[in-house]
Amino acid sequence: MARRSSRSGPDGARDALGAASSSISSRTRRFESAFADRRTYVYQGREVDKQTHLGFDLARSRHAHRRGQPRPYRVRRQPRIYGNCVIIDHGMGVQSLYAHLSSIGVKPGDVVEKEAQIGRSGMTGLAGGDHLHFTMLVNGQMVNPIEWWDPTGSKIGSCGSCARRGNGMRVDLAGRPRRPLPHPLCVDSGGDRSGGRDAGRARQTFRRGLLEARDRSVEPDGTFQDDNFTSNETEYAEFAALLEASGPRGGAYIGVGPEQNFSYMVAIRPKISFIRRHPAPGGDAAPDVQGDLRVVGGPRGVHLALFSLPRPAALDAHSTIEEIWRAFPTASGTDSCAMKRPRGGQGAVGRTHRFALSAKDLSQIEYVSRAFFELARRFITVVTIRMR
Amino acid sequence: MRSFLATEENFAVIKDAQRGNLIVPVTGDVSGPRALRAVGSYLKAHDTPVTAF
Repeated sequence: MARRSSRSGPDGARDALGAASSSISSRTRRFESAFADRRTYVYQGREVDKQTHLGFDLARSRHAHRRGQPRPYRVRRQPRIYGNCVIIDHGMGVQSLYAHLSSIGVKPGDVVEKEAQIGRSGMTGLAGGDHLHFTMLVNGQMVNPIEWWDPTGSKIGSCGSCARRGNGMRVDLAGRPRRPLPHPLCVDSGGDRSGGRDAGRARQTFRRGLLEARDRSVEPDGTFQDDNFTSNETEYAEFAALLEASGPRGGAYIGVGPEQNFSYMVAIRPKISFIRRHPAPGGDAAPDVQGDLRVVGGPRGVHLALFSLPRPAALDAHSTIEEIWRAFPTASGTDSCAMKRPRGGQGAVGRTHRFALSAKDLSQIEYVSRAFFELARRFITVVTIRMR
Repeated sequence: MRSFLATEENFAVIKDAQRGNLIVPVTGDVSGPRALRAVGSYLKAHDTPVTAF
C-alpha cells in the first residue's frame, strides 16, 4: 500500500466519536491536515501520486463537545480508502463522513441520536496513523467541513437553540455581542426561546439555500460540454518517465485520464488500449474526431496545426519539441483560420473513414478548434517563457 | 519531458496505434456495471494480461 509522505495523527487515542458534525470542536482537537491540502503519496521510496485532501484529519478526538438532540440521523457505510467508515445522512442532501475508524458501533440503516457513539477512531484504510478523517457532503459534493461545525466559529453550540446549555453569546467580527441564531441542525431541539419564530426562519433559510445550491449545480438541460482540455494530474509526465523506466510492458492499457493516457501508452507500449471518452453533448457516442485527426494529421507539427494555427514553414517531422514551442507563438493566424479547421477536419475525416458527420459532430469539432485557437498561442507563450 | 508529443517517435507510437484501430474509446461509466466489465470480458477472451499501477 502506498503511504503518505507526511504522517498524520500519530498521537491520537482511539476515542469514542460523537454522532454529528456539530459535536466536533476545533478547540479540543489538533488538525493534522485541513481541507484542500495537497498530499504526496510514496510507494517503495518513490513518489507515485498527488491528491487533494477533501476533509479534515483530527489527531485527537478526546473530550469532544456533545449536545443532546432528539433529531434522528440515518447511518450509511462506505468502504475503500476510508477503511471503516460511517456516513450519517442528515437529510436534505447533507451527510457527514467519519473515516479510518478502528471499530464501528452502528450498522447501515440505523437511526442514531445526537450523542450516540458511532465508533472509535483508528487507522484503517489508507491512513498513516490513528486519526479521524472528517468531512461533509452536500448533494454528494465534499465541502469544507469547518463551515458546518459551528455557525459562529467561536463556541460550539452557540446558537439560539443551544444557548440554554450555557454556550452564551457570540460576537461579530467587530467584537460586538450578537444574539445567536438557531443552528440549522438544531432547530428541532426544543431549545428555541423565540416561540419557534427563529427556528422556523432558520429552517426555511437552510432549506431554501440547499435548493438554490442544487439548482445552481445542475445543468439546465442535463448535459454539458465536459472537455476542458486540461488535466488534474500535473505530474503525469514525471510518472510516465517512471513507467518507462520500470513499468509494465505490452498487455492492455485501460485509462480514464483524458490528458495523460497517451503519454502513459507511449511508456508502456500496450498491444491494445481502452480509454474512456466523454460522451458528446447530448449523450451521443459521436465519432472519435480527435483520434481521427491524429491519424490524418501527419507529423506532430501538422497535428497541432489542425487544432490551432497554420503549420509554421520551418517545422517538419524532425523538429524538436523546443523548436515547435518557439515556432508557434510567431505563427500568423486569424479567427477565420480557426473557423476553417472544422470544414477541413470534416473533409479529411470523411475521406479517410467515410464518417458522415452530424451537426452535433461539427459543433464539437468547432468547439475544440476554437478552444485551441484561442488558448494555444497564449499557452505556448507561457511555456516558452518558462523554458528560458 | 515524456509527453506523447515530446518526440516524433512518441507521437508515431500513438498514431500507429490509432491507425491500427488499437485505441478503443469507451463511452461509459467505468465505475458502473457495464463498461469495465465489457472490457474485462474482451481481455479475458483474448487472454491479455492487465497490470495495475
